[in-house]
Amino acid sequence: MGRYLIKTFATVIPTLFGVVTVVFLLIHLAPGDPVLAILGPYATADSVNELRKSLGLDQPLFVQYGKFIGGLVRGDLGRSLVTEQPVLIETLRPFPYTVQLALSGVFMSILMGIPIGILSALRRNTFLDYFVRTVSISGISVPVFFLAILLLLIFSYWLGWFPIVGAGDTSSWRSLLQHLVLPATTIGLSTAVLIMRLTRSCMLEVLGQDYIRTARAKGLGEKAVILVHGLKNALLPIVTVVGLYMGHLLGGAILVETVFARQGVGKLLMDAILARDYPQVQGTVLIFACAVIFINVMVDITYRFLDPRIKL
Amino acid sequence: MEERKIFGFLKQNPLAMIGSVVILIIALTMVLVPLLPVTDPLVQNLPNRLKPPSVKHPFGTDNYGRDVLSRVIWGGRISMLVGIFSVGLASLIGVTLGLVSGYFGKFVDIVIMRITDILLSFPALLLAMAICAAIGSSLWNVIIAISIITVPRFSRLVRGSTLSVKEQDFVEAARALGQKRVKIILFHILPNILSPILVMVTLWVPVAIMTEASLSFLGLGVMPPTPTWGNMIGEGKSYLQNAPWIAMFSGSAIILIVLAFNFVGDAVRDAFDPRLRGEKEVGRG
Repeated sequence: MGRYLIKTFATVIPTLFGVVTVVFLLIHLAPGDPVLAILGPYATADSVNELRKSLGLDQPLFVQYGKFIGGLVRGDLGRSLVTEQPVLIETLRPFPYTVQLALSGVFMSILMGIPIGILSALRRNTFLDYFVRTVSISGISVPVFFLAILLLLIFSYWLGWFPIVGAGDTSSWRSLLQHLVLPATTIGLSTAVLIMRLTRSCMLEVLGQDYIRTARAKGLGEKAVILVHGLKNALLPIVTVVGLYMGHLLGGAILVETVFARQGVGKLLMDAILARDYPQVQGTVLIFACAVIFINVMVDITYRFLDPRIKL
Repeated sequence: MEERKIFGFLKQNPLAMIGSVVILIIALTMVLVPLLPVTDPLVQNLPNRLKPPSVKHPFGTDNYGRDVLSRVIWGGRISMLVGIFSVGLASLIGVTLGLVSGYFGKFVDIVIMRITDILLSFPALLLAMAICAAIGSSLWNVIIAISIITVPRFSRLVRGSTLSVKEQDFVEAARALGQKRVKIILFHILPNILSPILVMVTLWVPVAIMTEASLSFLGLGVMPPTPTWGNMIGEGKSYLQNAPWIAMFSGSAIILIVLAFNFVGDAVRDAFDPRLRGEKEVGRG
């Protein structure tokens, strides 16, 4: 186990380094002068020079890169140009909202996806199965932001069941929950269709195995066969894929947060991009990408931990 | 694939048949748009703003009194253009990198695959957003951004296929005959890995269309007044209560085209390459 962990981290570090470099180059090699973009076309030469100096943009690229890496090691991602607060703190502040949204989305997608997927596999090639398959292939064709708008239109504007925008009042659980239902359902539905497809195919594969026939032959009840022998074995790939979706879910969260004008990392990133707050954009993208890499490593470790066939 | 084979394939897959017909109709409309009797999508008519669907404006009018139907059609042109061009560009670069990486191996392989892994470790939409934020919003920049997120998917796939084909006897024979490496790659390896590439293209065009829509919706893609489905939904979002048709018709257009591509893509994938199952799910950003 220890050896495996060391090996995993040894491969993660170059990847992280690469991600850092890509983000740095993206912001620094982009055509157009960020200083002019910030100050606008009517800035004086003096103010341009001053800002360039204070951002460290007057130095050669590799010096800037060295400073950037040095800052990262110390946990310093620079300061936001808008709020003048450290980027790290600005980014971590709305993080809980995004995590809350992503986790509740995953929870809902599992709640919907796995039972329907099992049912579809058990009733293979019946009307129900075709229906579920059609819904799931249609489901992947709906852009997540459009689904969000549809839910917003139906449940907030027309039926008035849920509040329209925001993340709610942090002091009240009820308000937080009310504001969470629609965004979480959006993410949940868009992921559930994928989990449905996956559960169906995994279950079909497992149910065709010899040990299922053995379980039936020794007189086990159908429920035990499906849940204990079938689902338990089908769960492994499902868990992995759900874990891997977390990265994409966080990407989808950006869109959902924008539609619902909900606080979160996605909204922070959008605001930073629109305000041309380059240090903030750089920091947010970096933290976002690192979070996804971290999740993927965790999923990989859990997977190996769960599956005794894989030797560590 | 020969024509007869294509027809037989479509006959066996009714959904793929429907999908291809829809794609064909939409593609024809997009090409013939300048000849069709639709109004100019940019002409404003303020007294006539936010009018619900009627005979004169079947999809209603938007907040500037522009005809939504004409904007959906012209917007579709941009969306299709981005989808096809970005996947075309990405497959060109990705296939080349994958072939080089798989065939030559060693140092070249390590460098290309490391960069591929790094690019793949970003959530696709996030990377596309960051690229658009850095290089600015325009039609070509969106195409570049989407190509960049798609290239690593192609190069990884092609590298894998190249590795397995490279070891086969006919490649060895070509090498023994003293053929040049470029010739071996282009005439012996490439033709044998075309089917997974084709599958990948049909699966990624809809993803590219969705990504373009997401970027334009966020205001990072093609800018108004040029209509695209994404920015029309973005604009329509502010008028959901009074004029839901603006967002609804553009959204339905996206679903229609993406669904059509998915029907075709699924069938092509099942027919050609069962190993690719699951590729779509992972690639969804």
